[in-house]
Amino acid sequence: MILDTVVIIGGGWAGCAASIRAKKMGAKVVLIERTDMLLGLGNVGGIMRNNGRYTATEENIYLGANELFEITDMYSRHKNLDFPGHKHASLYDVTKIEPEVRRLLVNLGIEVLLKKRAIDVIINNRTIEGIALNDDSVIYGDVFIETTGSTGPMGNCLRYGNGCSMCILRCPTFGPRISISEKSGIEDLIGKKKDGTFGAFSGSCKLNKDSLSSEIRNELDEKGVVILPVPKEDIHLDKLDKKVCQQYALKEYAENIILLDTGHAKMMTTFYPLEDLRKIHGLENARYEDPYSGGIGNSVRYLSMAPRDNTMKVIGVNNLFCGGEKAGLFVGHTEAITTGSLAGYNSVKMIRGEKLLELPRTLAVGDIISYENEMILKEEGLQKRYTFAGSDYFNRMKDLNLYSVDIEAIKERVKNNKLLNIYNRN
Amino acid sequence: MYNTFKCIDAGSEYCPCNLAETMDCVSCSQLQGNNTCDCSWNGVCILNEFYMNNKNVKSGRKTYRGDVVLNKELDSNIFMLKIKTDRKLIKQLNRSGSYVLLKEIDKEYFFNVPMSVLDLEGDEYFYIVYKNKGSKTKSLEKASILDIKGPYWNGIQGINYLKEVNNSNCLIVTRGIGQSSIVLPIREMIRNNNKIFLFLDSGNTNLDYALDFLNGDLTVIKGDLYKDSEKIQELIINNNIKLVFSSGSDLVHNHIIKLIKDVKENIYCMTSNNSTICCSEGVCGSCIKRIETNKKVRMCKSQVNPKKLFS
Repeated sequence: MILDTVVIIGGGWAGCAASIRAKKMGAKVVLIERTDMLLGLGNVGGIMRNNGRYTATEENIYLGANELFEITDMYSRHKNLDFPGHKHASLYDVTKIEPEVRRLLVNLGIEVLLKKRAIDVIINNRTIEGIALNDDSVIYGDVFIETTGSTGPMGNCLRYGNGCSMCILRCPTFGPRISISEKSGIEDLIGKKKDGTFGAFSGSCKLNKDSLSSEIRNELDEKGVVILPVPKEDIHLDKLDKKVCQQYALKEYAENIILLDTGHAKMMTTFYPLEDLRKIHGLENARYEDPYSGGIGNSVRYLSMAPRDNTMKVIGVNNLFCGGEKAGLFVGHTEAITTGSLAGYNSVKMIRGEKLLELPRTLAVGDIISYENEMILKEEGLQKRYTFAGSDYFNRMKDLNLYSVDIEAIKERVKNNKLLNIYNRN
Repeated sequence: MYNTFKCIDAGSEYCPCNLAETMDCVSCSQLQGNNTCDCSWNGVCILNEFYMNNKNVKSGRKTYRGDVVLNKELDSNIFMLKIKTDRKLIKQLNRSGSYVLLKEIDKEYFFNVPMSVLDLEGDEYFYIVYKNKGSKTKSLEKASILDIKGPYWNGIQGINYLKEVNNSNCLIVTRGIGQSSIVLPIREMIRNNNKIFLFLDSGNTNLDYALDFLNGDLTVIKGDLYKDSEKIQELIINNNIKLVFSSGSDLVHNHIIKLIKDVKENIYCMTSNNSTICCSEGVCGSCIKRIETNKKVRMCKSQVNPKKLFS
């Protein structure tokens, strides 16, 4: 039993995953979250197990990171769903998931500090000693994990997007994200759009389901997906380039409104002027649920990534790990849980003075972490996104035979690497 | 890693100010020329305000006419002025930490001298107390009509703690004409249901004029704050003081904050701002102070935790 403290900054999927792993490895864990809810963008996401994410989910489960996937599976409104470019997706209910994850963390004995905003680091000889909070207090620890994400705050969404669109991150209420790695003296990497400008828009908006016609609502409840053609004059293919989620940057997504049932009606487009949206049959009364100004813009992401190695340790700081979007140009909950879990596990390995784990490239979860790290060094790599769910990386998974929906085969793969349940081997 | 501080003017009708245009904003990293956000949050995004104002700065403070209706020598070279001025200005000065720039009406702009607002009366009058010391203050002596520029608000460092403390005990330690800054904050403390202990050291004078403006329920202890150090520490411990406001010279602040740090770590501190304020707009640079390594702070606009400034 060890009791050294791991401090995690940022309570999104990556931070929650890191907290669970560090706690189960025996550390005292403090999770700092600036808003009043865990999961961050996970409160408006919901897409799991689509395409290569299925493989990655099962790999994570066999590695021992099963807890959060059990919750997302349990709260799925739809399973084994196909929609354009995507197969066997699960859609979890965004209106129910956060309290369940919060209960899990609290029951595990993780100290969850909500409405506490990190504002600075106390650092000595490249070793972080504590995190200064906005209330003048300091949270001291031995190892730190940054999962603050790369989205916002307001000034960034303004300069690189269309202004604050009032998203779930709620910067005006809870204050801005800061970069722990940058406060520690390590310059952030910044992702780019295809035209070379900084950042990228979040890829979807959510409509209030009750504002849709009863036909659409019923079809969503029943089938999980509704596809509505966009009037010709409103098709803008160029908008796809500005999108984070290149797995959804397909022609079908410009020519159609694709709605998915995540509790809200998740609309797979960055933003869509309200008056144009209401021209579409069944959407005459539509209104946005997230971001509130989804007719104008969306949150801007990838503005703050830390250079890291493949154990998730931040290069240049002795005791800082990272996960989620902070750790690279990753998209999605599965990717956040993948990187967050490894960071959480390795934080305790570091406390113990043991060799840090690098996931092998014979697993999709290991390959994506290494591949992203190679690509991000190139200018073109900064314009790409990395996700099991589509685009370049899913093609790579297929090329390398990493994509599989055969659960036994995936288990065998993890076993052959001698990593079965590694995350829980204390 | 940028140098960002809270700005007293952030979110006010004077923000964004000239410093946004010259990329020297106190709070916003992007308005300091950086590519991305890194601010300590003022409850408002200054870059957004700047864009919303079509990248123009807001118009600055106006100059109002002031008529001296009372000029009373309280002690040798110490004067109290009662000044009649514009109602709008008086309204804006009704805030802890407020001050104005004063000069005789026909004098050049460089005679402007910063003065803490001692108290307000009705909706047309305010009081100041000053000591005849240099050419700026001496030039006020015979003035009957004044130019008043304002309002300015950064007369107290750590002012944010005032909002956070209620139903608690507060200690105010003041010396000499430092008492000119205590009346408005004490009223605010009382409004927030706090119990007030006032340690008053008259310094080299025999004055306790601030008491004439305070009629609420407060415990006044008179003494010498250097000789009575232990007494002050006992006051803090025995009354479980949550907030200490030191109003006097920087020597006084150093002494008091040292006393506090010796007895209890988690006490909020406020200090009167004694910086060499000149233009009050962050432009001239006369009040710049270096805190920690390489951090230059414009003290006329920046809010800094007093514990980082003293001892």
